[in-house]
Amino acid sequence: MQEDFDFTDRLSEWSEGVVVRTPPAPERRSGPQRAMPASIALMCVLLVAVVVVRYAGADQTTTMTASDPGAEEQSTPGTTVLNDGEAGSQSRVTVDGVELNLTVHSTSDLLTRYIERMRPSGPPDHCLPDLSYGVRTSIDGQPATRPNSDATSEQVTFAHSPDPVTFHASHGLAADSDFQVLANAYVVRLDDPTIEAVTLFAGGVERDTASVSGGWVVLGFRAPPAVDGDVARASGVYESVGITLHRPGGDQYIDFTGYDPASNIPSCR
Amino acid sequence: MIAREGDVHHTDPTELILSPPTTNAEFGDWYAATYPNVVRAVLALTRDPAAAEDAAADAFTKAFTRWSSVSEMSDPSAWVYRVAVNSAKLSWRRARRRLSRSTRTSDVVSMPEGDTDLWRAVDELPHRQRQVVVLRYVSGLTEPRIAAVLKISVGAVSASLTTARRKLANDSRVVR
Repeated sequence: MQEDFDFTDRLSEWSEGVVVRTPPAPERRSGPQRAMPASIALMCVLLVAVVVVRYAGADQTTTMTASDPGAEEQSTPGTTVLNDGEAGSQSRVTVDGVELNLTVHSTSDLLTRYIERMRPSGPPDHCLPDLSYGVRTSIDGQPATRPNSDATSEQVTFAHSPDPVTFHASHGLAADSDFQVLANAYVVRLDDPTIEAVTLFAGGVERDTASVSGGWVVLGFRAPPAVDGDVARASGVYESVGITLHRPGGDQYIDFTGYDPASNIPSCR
Repeated sequence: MIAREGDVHHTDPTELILSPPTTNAEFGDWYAATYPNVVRAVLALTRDPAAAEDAAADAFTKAFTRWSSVSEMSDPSAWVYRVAVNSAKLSWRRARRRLSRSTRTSDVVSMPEGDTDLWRAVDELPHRQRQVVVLRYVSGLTEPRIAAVLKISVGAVSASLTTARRKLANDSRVVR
């Protein structure tokens, strides 16, 4: 039937019109760490996912000042909105006088999907504090990256952003990572005001620490030198993964290593 | 072992044992050859470039971390298609809820515009029929390979495809 051929041809033509720029393949590096068993495979992005627990609300505009860690939001506090069904939603933040439009770039990405399925190891009543939400973002329509995260610096540079943005970042990525990892930045919303900073660990190595500012924290990861800094849509494979939440009363380490892909993260609520 | 056209395998991905990749070069070649088509398939199912990028990244990362096992499958490509397609299911449901929201972008993939009516008709097909149509006409997979990807019989693929083609051929939005 002619119509049949017509639509199949049109589907084929559509497929031919799709432009795909294949990212570099994941690559295992040689070196001393190669012998380290990789019993647990996790995307590095899930590290940053850190703490998605709350799913609530609709689009929200939040204003904060990164240089003033105690700054209060000018919008309704308490509820984070950039939830999993809200790709495309935007938040507007002012950082050091620079207003940025943060757009939820892909809430269905690895970050969210893994977080949905992760359960931290530990006692049965272990739960994640109901405090935060992580999203992969773009800033002013451009992907956000944090290329300088391996330097001890308080400066976070977003690609394509006219000015660097200070987010009080401190530690960076260890250069001896065994695998190339995704370079990306995540803006993580924290609903718990007592948390001052968040640290990411993978393979027993501190990967990034960033201070919380106005309820937000920016965490980054990047490809190690072995891949010449290419932004690779690739994995990190680590035998342990976790985060530390820094509070004035003490730190809380949450181990994701024993995650159960079939389970949801229990919330403390 | 690299994919051969028409191969059917029955390896359950949940049965794979996590182990480090063994051969970067082998994986790299397979990845380069397979990645674009997997992205196209997921993009056709979701028409969400970011979701396609994510699903493909997820699937290939899993393949990478299990490469010693995946590479021994009779058809590693069918496995990675299946992982990506399954991953796209959730994205599809979200995309339908999102409807008029702005299209998300991706650094990796961009899709052509046009043929909205055709895609509307495809979108309205039952889930299985839509998968089969996409894998057959967008990805160009044979019916046996579609069966391997979806873990259904070749007969079920043929039946779904026949039904879908009939629906589309009789859809006024599709017929020019």
